[in-house]
Amino acid sequence: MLKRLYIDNFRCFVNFEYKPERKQLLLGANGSGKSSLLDAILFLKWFITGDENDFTQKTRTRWDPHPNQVVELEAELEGKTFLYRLEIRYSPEEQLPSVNLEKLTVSGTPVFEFAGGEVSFFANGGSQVSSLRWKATESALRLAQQSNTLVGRFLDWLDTVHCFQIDPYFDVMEERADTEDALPEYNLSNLAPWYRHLLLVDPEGNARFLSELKEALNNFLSLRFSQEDDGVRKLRADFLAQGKKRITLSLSEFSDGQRMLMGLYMVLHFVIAKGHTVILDEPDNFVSLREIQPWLLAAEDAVQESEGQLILISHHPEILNYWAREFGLLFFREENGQVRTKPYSEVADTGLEPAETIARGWEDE
Amino acid sequence: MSKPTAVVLLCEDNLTSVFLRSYLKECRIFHGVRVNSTPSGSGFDWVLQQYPIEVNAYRQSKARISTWLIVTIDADKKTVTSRINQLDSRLKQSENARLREFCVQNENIARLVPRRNIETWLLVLTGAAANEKDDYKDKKAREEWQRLAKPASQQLFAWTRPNIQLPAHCIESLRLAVKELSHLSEPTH
Repeated sequence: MLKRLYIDNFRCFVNFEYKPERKQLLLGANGSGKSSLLDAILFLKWFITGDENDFTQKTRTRWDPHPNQVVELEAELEGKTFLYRLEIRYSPEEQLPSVNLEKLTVSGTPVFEFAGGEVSFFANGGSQVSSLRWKATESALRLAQQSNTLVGRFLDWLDTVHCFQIDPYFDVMEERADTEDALPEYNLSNLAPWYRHLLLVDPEGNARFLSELKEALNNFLSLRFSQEDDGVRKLRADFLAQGKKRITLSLSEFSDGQRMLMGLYMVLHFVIAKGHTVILDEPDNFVSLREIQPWLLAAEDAVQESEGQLILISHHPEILNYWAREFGLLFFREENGQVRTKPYSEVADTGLEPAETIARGWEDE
Repeated sequence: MSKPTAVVLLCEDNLTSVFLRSYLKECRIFHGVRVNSTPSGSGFDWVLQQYPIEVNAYRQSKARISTWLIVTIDADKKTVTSRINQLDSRLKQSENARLREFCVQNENIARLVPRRNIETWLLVLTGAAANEKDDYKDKKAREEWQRLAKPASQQLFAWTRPNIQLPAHCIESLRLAVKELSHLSEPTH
């Protein structure tokens, strides 16, 4: 479980610490830093996996002249505290920022360190076994998997930390599945290739997912992949139409809301229910009022059963009124622009629901 | 569009919601559950205020679909009877004639009054010694209470099966709740 996140000199975060709970609702005005928090984790994951490096000059805090940017992740795994720290140095002379320090400790003992262009490898006992020169513009953490099993454990865990901003537009959410994708993209653009993979590896999860989708999508029957004339596989859904006729729609023929719901229930059954950590930005987008609480309750139950972690970012009254009182964390900016947080609370017992309180700006900032 | 709501839970907090929804799953009710839990302020006041609204909505909708309304309100330092009387008086005082017709016992409405609160029930249902006078809320962290919700709900389901002899350690407020839940007939949606 993600226990702590520390961010310094990244967008609006300066010396910012966040200790997430198992269930949490991040709320606050636009621009208060909620989605940037998700981006910080996402960028860190991409940096470590080597997919891409989004830590650029533009991500630095505008008013902070300090050259170093820091992101720390702390996780509690099998009773051990894993602390990963990344320091990125920006200098006007170099085009690409460089890694000033990359370090992983487990309960205080170093298992990996990358500083000054040199990677230090440590055995499981904590003694340094070897070193290597490495490019200062890339993460070196993956190199240490062989020398220390705890590094592998951390990387495996990082694969189970998911940040989602689901984008259900038809030109984003891919219906073609030429390949299988083992992991979902942050916006579920690879929904079909990911589902193709899941069909093979998790048939039981798929049965639960389809059963839930039948409740959520009116007249929905099943999902399948069709083989097109050009050999391409496309994700299609069967629905019951008038006169008990069966009609088939491709994913691109779904409404945005239907694609969103499908994505949400996939995240629920194939990610949240597996005990993973999920940070989900605005799951209420595109979804009708009647469809929000059933998903939220099912997701809450899945977190409960799997001992996972669910952090929602939302402005929606349905979600605010159900979770704000007990799990709400309010993001706000101080006068100097820095992001701060505090548990959601009201000025006084007004009797108003949180959504109404927030709409009036009466939350206790 | 998803199917209509079959069960409405009116409750004071998230822990009660998690516990009762887990109980409903034991009853094989997996969908169509709507939770109206206290969004802010006093949970007790919220439930009392919402109760006539929910009973009215229940009576309006029951002509169309068979639903359950499960209301949970903590006894705190009061008795179960005094809390039930407070709920009843909300209906009796209503200007709405439909609410003043007094037939809650014959409807699919269950009024559960944990004494002192839901945490007491979770302890009793999971086999721990607990009485109705002490407040156990602060004895465990929130996550620990939430972990007890599932095993407790399984025990509650076992106790609401027909012809079950409740064990001696079952407290009075829970005995009354078992009775309330046992009279509900199956909802449809």
